[in-house]
Amino acid sequence: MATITSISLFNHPKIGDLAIDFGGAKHLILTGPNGSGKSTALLALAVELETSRYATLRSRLRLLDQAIALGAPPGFEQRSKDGLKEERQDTLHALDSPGAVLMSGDEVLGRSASSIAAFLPSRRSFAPSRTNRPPQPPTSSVSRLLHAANEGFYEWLKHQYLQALLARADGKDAESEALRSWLDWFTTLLRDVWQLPDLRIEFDRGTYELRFIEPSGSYWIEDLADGHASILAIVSELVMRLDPEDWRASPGIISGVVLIDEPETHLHPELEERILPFLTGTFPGVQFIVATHSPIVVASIPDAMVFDLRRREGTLSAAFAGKKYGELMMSHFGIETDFDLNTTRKLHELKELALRPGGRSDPRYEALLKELETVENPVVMSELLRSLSAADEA
Amino acid sequence: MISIKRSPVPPASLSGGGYDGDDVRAQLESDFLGKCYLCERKLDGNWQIEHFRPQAGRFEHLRTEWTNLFPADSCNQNRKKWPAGERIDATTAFPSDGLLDPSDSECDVEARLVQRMDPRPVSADDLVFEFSAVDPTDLPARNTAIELSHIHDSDGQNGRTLRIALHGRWILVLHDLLALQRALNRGENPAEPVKRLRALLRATAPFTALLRGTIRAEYPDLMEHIVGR
Ligand SMILES: [Zn+2]
Repeated sequence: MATITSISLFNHPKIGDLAIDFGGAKHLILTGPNGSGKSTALLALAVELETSRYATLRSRLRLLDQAIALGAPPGFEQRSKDGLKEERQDTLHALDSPGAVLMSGDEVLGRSASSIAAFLPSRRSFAPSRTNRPPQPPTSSVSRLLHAANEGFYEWLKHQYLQALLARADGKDAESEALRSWLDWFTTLLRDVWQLPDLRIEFDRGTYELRFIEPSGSYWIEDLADGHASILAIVSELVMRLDPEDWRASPGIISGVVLIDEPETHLHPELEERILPFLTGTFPGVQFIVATHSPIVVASIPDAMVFDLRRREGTLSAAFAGKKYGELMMSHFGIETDFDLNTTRKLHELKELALRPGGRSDPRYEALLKELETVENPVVMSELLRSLSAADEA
Repeated sequence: MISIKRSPVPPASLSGGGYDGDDVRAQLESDFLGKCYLCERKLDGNWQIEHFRPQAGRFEHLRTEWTNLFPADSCNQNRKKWPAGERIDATTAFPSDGLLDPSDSECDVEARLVQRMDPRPVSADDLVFEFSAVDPTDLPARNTAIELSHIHDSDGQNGRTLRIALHGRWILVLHDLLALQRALNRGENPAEPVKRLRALLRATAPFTALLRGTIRAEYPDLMEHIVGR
């Protein structure tokens, strides 16, 4: 299983030298205030994973060392010792050059069919939409790390549904069963992470589109809530980088490294807290390296090294369990707040309701306002003010 | 940003060729009500004299010109770099269409600029500002709005400490707005909260323009009570 256990950056133009030891933890969470280089570090890692420049240089250096020691081994017959030494010097120089990244651990770059490497930048452009045409069979999948692979995800998913229907119509029961079971599994996954226990997904034969059905009504792919679409962007990126065969067998066998910049994008606090537990639970063999602005994300999984890029200091995430939200905000994000996680979640919810049309007449709004009444926070105070002035008018 | 009255008489030391004499500092501090002309924080010991039109380049002759000198704290490091014109890579702190001059007696800054923020930030880093020109064709006002946004939204430590201070101040204001609203609801005399709010919003207090602008936009009825009908 591919696992990174330490990362070093050498002379990076923005970050300088950096050494991160995972301290036995499986995952890595990079934190720090804006401008501390979270995204930059993540990108440097992604580039290194993509090109494995450092690994190549290092193995070349080893080869050259052998060649110099043994004198003209196979492959080097034509080379003079001086020439070899010169190349060794150049290789060494390249290794010292700005921005070199070294990762150590098991053979990180040995990729197999069931191994994954993915990088999700913070601006994820994922906007699937309906075509009302029969789904096109998928073209060959993109496997380059730095390019999004999920562009064709929705089309691919529709195709899976269509194939399942066709297989059944043709009496190919085994094939139909295999496709169905994967689609059922995938639906269960979405139900779980979206927290929509009654969600069903159906292939609409009239329009060739997928219909998302809930007790309250049905909707199309474009109508997904921002937070749900944001999670689907991450999940689909992983799905599209894998061979469905592996998935059908067991997602547990998938290994690899996935880098995500700001997994919390567009998520409300509830989902923010669930995203990493969900991903690490669904892909137990995958190592996640994320950069985040969110104290909620930091405290959400037990098995991570949390590395503060400003202080250049790591802490095991287990130490954050039960810690006050305010302390986390102060220590890792430089933000001043005194509230615990639960209060902060309520504050976010209150704010969201206040900004939503008609949200102030939601019974939850009054209930929250009552619960939070004594909290000295602008969200509560300005909402309290609103409701008092409404009472005055009435 | 608020308008202030600049003393018509230039401090004496300016005629000697320097621009940062003690008399200049004292006069600026008093004319600008002890606040940074950009962010309206109280001036501490480390404030600098800023050349409104930069002293390097085409405004060199304004180096010791009294009306070109302004008091600013560290927030001025986040002043916007404007294109300098003829050379594409050259920048200047002063745009070609100009900026609002808060010490110009002809210029009513608060009347020309919308300055307010979202009244309900969860934390200091959650503050959302709106700076815009009341009249979109008013180019100096537009430039000043851009400059103020730049300063208030800046990522670094300067921007953060500014937002933390504003957040704290806004909580104080909300406190008294709540007291005022409660008094009104109960039919009590609101004199006490009104007095405290006037103190928080007077020109010598920090962040006058943003606090006033936000209350005016969000709680216009309460603003009427504060200014007195
Ligand atoms: Zn300032």
